[in-house]
Amino acid sequence: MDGGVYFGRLSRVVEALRRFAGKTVEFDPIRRLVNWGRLYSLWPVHVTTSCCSVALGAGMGARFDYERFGVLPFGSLRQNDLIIIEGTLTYKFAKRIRRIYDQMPEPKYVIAIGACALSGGIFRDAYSIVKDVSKVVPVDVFVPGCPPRPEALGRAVMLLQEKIRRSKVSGEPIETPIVVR
Amino acid sequence: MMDVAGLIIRIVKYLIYDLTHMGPVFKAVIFPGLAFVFILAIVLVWLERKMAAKVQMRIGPLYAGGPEGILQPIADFIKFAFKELIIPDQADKLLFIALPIVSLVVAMAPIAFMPYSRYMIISPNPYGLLFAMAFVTLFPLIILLTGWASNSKYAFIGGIRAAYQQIGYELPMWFSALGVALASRSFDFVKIVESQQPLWFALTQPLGALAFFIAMVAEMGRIPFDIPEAEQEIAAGWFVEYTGIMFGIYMVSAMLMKLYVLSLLFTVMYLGGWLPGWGLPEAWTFVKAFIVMFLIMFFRAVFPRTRIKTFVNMAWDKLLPLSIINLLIVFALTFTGFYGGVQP
Amino acid sequence: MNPVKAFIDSVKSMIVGFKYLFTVPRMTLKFPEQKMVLPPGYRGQHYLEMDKCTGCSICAMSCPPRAITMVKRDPTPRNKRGLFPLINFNYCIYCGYCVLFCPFDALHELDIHDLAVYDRDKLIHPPEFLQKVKENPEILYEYSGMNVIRTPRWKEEYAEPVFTRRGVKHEPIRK
Repeated sequence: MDGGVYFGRLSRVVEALRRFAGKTVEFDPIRRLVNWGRLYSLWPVHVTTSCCSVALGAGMGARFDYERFGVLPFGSLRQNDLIIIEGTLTYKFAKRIRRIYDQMPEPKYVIAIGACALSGGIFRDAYSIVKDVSKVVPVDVFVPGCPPRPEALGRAVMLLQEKIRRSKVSGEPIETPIVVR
Repeated sequence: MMDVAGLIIRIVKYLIYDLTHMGPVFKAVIFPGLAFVFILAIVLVWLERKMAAKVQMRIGPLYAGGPEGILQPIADFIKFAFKELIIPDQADKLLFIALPIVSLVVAMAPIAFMPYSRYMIISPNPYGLLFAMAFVTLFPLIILLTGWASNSKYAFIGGIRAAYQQIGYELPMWFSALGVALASRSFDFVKIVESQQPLWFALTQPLGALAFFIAMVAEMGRIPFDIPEAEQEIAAGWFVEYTGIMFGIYMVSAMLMKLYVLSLLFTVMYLGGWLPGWGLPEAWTFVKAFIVMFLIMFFRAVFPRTRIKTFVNMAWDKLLPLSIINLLIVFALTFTGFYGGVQP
Repeated sequence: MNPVKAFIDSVKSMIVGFKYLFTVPRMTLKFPEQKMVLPPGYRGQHYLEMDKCTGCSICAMSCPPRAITMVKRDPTPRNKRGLFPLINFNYCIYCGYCVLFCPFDALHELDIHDLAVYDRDKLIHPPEFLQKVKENPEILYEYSGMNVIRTPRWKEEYAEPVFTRRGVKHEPIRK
């Protein structure tokens, strides 16, 4: 929020404090703590673009249960931080997806699953299909498949967690050596 | 300077004495007070998610850390603490920012009057029941204000629903509480518990206990009566515009503190508090309250949501007559000396 | 509605809930550590045997989303034009037609089905890479950048067959 609107004359002090806090937070124990909180609490918003949502349903169901990773589907988008774009995205729905994305608070992440979301898939000649979801919203992780299996969705969640683990609190990525264990 | 140093030393000495001898500071900050309540809140969030998962044959939070993922609520809270705060352009900004804190204060205020045992009360008060019930009644007003302040359709519908729902459950709740007050001839929680010596009020006033229990679940806004939230109908209802830490505070106040306070109220009023008082009386109260909380959280895994019309009809047609009949029975029984004590 | 009946129904539903809470075992597969046993013939990632391929392009013609492109490589005695399939898994719907229609059994499918990538270009598999997948399927994970995940698949233990557990039962067809 804009400091000037709410704090009047104190806005410069508030700005300085915010800059100080922003730098303090990047130090390692605090950064790791914040990232730990973020990566184990990814709440996807309930938005179903198409038929790949069966993969999401299977993933949240009893067999795969990605609530183990802290993925809790939640009804309202102001509290959420993950959009899972499931399959075909039409131009008509793309506007809504963009609006949902804009209304969500930072930091926010997007997972695109299914061949249609990645490239248009089998419908790529259709007039109404968005061929490239990353032109609508910035996508973090892509999952191929038609539809992908719930395991692939789990891999996507794990990749996203790894991406958060290797980023600053402000969201910029930091380079750390890859360790294969 | 010496005076200041002496004062600090005296304060520290007092604090040490207080904390080691369970004085008022200990009560307010540690045991029935803040620290205990927040630790309990973490355990409750974890237990709720884990229990819903178990009923659905799932595992629930696991990898966040700790045994069986008990650190999951802390991860959620840290995430919310470092999330962007969005204040809607059209919102009433002062109210919008102030209301989460007010709600936390209002939701936690009754803890001051709740006894864990005869001496384990933060603020002993001869009118404790009235105070606690008054604070509990205040919460739907905050929901209504929240809906109005965030200036969103869903939030406003949620607030209106909360007010409408309150019309239903408020009267049965107060009439049932009046039955308890009449039977024990006091608004003092300690006397209320002491007068349940042979038999709990849940056994001598079952109708009132049932009416109070249902009204209590509605007051908490929990399934099956989470009509002001109603995820599937009105997005998330009254807190739909709240982001980040403000939503975190609302989650603690509206979903956990109300659950804790009202379960404790039910325990003290109907389940005999720390009776039978042998052993550690605080443990008796806690175990009873925990069972009530467990039951109410268990509803979430089992029941669907009622419609608002169904609920208000039920409250006026069934609960209100039930509580009034209960009050009349108690009134008649007091003349027979069934509840002990002096005849009126 | 009859309030007594409603109350009894609520109590019944709660009893069912308690039964599930205390007696029924969980059926969750702890996915990164355990792996589901897939039925034989599962259609997953492809591999190519370049020495069998003749460049007839039937796979590219049969591909419904046109994910297969024929690319020019060094000609071999068997493949004189030097055409080999390049599979773009951005488009692939894993229908298996290319494998089905291949007259020389050059294309095959593995049961690897859990790919996810940061970068979509990693899903374009040229013929040399498809050839390598045959020798070492785990190269798929390295190529698509998934070895940043801490529990790689090739160190997992297989779960017990899930269909014998409670919850999902295969009932044989009655004759």
